[in-house]
Amino acid sequence: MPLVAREDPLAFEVFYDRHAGAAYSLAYRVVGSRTAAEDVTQEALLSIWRSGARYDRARGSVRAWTLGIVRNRAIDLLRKESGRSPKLAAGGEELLERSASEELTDTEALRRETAREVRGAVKGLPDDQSRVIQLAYFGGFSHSEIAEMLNEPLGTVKGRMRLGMDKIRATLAEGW
Amino acid sequence: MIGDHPNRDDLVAFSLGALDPHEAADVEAHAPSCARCTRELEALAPAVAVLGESVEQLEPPPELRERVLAIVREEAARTQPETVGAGTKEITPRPGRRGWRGLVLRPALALAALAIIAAGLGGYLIAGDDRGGGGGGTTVPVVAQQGIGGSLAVGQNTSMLDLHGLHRLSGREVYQVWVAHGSSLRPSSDFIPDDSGRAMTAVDGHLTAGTKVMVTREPRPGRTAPTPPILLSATVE
Repeated sequence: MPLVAREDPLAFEVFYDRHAGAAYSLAYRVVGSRTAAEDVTQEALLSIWRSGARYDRARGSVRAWTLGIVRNRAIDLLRKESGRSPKLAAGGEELLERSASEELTDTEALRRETAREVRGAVKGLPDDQSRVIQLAYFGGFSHSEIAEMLNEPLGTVKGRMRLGMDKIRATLAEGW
Repeated sequence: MIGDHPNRDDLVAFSLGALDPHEAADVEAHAPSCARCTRELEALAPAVAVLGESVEQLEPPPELRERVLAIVREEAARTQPETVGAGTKEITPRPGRRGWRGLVLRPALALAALAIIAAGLGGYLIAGDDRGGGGGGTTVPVVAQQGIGGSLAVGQNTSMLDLHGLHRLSGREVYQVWVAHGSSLRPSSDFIPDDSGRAMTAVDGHLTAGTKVMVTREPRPGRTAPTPPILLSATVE
């Protein structure tokens, strides 16, 4: 990141190859369209290129920081396109993944394997906790919107979010 | 400190981007000046990152890469015409500005980096007794086990671990650098040694006194917690 911040295009190329796949995948998960996911990924990565100096290690890994920017861009797009509901089912993505190139690079294969592993940490959550977390993170809904949507008290929604995130943290601490 | 402490539920919701705008504004105003809330948000960050990485992984279209990198090269050429040409593969070195990371990122330059260290830009490495020179760097002894040795050259913004005697890895294993200060622990770079058991790797960020740099052997990259044992450690004085 120091080199990206110094506008080194080769460093950015390395950065792109490391993180663009995860960025694009997350963007697609939020916006639900390949074209829109491309736009979100491009905008997010270029914003990093143009302001790489803002990265602060105290806020987490480069990957986490990058995905945070992608997620926010994707949610902004969702909100602009009013009337769109969040994607909560993952069914179509597996089909898309299968249709992708059969010849995966080592990096690509590693990325997918890592994603499968971290999915385990999320899938281990009870449905009610997973649902509120997914509505918030992937759908961009606030906790009060989620409470209204699920017809649950706000305190219940908050509590489920906290319990779910605590479980993910505990799973991470155990090293999966 | 600005405002009252948000409760944990609200910090969790904030980390997920799920607070209403006025609530989020309150946390944003309060947290930066509150060590407790900052710690809690930092502790939540890896769990939030897991959500982003847990989605089915797709391959971005090659055209996206071409498009983004074309824009980047064009903008770089516009702002740094004297050092970087659009679409070129070579960059004019700018000693003292680029740091070490680029050398690690570009393996082809690793040998050159070794030569540089041996020859005297390595003043960086031997500047321990001369804080007025050599770029303000200092060298910290490494406490290691299992026959591993080396040194940590501490720079202003990037430091460099130069290690030898590293064991050969298998499968997806990597050596992982960890940076600990107080109660915080973060992963830094990971690396694979060459056939002779040597490796150089950058440690990004300014390392303040008391910061401990450690290396573990991990079954795969991307771990968020170290796997014992700690193979070596170096504490910045």
